[in-house]
Amino acid sequence: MKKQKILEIKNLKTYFPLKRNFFGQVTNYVKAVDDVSFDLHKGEILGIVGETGSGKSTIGRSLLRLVEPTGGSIFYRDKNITKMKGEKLRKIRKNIQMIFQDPFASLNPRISIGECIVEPMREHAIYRKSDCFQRALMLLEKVGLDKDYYIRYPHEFSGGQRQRVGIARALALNPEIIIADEAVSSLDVSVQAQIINLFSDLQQELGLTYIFIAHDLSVVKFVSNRIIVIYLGEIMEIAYKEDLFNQPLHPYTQALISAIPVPDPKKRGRRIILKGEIPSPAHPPTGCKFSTRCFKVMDVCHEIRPDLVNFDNHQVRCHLYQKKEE
Amino acid sequence: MFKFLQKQLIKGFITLFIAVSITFLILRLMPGDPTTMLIDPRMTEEARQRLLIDFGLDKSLITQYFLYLKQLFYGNLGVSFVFRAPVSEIIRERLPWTLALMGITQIITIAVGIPLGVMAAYKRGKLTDQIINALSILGISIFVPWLGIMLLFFFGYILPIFPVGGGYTPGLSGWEYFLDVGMHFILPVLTLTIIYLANYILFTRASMVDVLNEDYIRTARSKGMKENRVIWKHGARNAMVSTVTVAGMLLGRMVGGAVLTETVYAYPGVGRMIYDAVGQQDFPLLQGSFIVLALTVIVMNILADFICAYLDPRIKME
Repeated sequence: MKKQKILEIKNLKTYFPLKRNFFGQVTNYVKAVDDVSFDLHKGEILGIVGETGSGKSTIGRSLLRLVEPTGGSIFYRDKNITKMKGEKLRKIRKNIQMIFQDPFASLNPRISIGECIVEPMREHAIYRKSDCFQRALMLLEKVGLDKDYYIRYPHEFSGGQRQRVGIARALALNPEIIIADEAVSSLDVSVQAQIINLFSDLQQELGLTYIFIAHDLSVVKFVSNRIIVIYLGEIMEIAYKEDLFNQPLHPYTQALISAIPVPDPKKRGRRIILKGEIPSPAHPPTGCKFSTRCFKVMDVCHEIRPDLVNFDNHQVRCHLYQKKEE
Repeated sequence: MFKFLQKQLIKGFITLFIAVSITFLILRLMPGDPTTMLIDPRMTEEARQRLLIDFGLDKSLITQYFLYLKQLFYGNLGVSFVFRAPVSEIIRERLPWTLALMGITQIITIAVGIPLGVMAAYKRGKLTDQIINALSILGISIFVPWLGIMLLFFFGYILPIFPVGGGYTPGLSGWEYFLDVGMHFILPVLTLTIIYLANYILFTRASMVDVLNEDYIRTARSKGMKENRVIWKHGARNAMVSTVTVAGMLLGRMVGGAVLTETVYAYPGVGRMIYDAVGQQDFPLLQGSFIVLALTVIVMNILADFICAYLDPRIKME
């Protein structure tokens, strides 16, 4: 299978100003996304996992330029979209749609479900007016909602139903890429399963490319082909799903995998319990950002930031493996 | 829909009843005796007693209250002590002037205040926002009569563009009359607008700032919508709900401003009449105008509730 690169992210940095001095210069940042690079290939589902506050959502938002990146560049089909503005940016957004985390807050309360789905189609004028309506009905059906819901308002629906509306809305423009930002984490487990199945069905049916952002490794394991593990805004490990689960390299990944609940008590392996909490991104540790909680920590970890090392399609940022390469 | 109307009407009726009762009480608790104003001191004691009986002022407070409620029920607002004419007739003559003044002010303040508030919120922290904010605070702080007199001084005396007072010049008809009324209108409307515009700007700005931080605004942007549409369709319409609620309440406050404005410009409206009636202790006329104004404000508030229900589908009309 020949891989076609549709999104290329190079050294993406998104910092949020935290403190300004008297002259309005920023003196301290939260480095929400710090030097992140990866490619997205057509038709794949790329999972991004990390703890709360690790910058996963900010990556997603930065890609769509809903948050302005501080540095680095984003290429969509070899076009640099990092500094794009106005009409051009709108055209790009048409091709990359996002499903948001909170199904309660992300729908406008005074716009009906149907209007919400039709609106982007009308705005981009990609379908004729009558077709918009037909397509909205088709999408409602596709995500498992009743056609009659077209005229209803968001407050009349449950979380799962609203999330489906969000999916239908994202699909309306027939996008190439869908960024699902914690799209299932606020839902019940049973509803989560339904929505995840919906994602995989739609992917097979429409040939979509996903970026699937979640904090739940078991959910990501189920849907993705390739997984990025992120910690304090930095990529710790990127690998194909099988490689990552069979042979996790980074101690952080090992700890995360050991924490996935296993239904069979006899098979339960040794769990690696990480100490403490994720450090404040305003004052990240020096050297390796994971060094404060790592169970395989060495002296060098506190001083030097390790580079991302590549072992055929399996990249890892850890001093344990840097030595091996030399 | 019908039930919503019913609920609003009952609510309005209760409010009106309370307003009516308070009006009655406050006027009786005021110091001074209307008979001294009403009755010529040279009258004989016998004639004075007869007049007191005629106006029902000899009865106890409670009897007066119930008589007043009963007459009110029949639409009778009483007879003015000073004009010796039915209060309802006097008010009917004056009310259109005040309603026109407040109505036009309301329309202008909403039409100008909401866009300015939205713009200030969108440009939050920038220069535009700071200028709009500073001017709003200035507008809220100005004392109505002072502003009225200043405008009169500059545009009536130094630069005599507008008439210095009154509602119309006697002896005109047709188009000339219409134009003349319009010219008399401008300064009072300007005064009220300057004072009340700031309220709309600040309320709209505050709720718009909240709305712009909502997730659905981000959703709208992610759809690839034009920024203008994001702000107006998704932003302003949601922010408007609280502005409309406030508009209903501000109208009540505007009545107070109208009394002062009409007095400064010798404008022939209800506000000026109230001012005069206070000085003359004309109880029935005061009572009558308070009730009519309360009724106006209540009706406008019911209207505001309906607009809110239309703007926000979560407020159910059932």
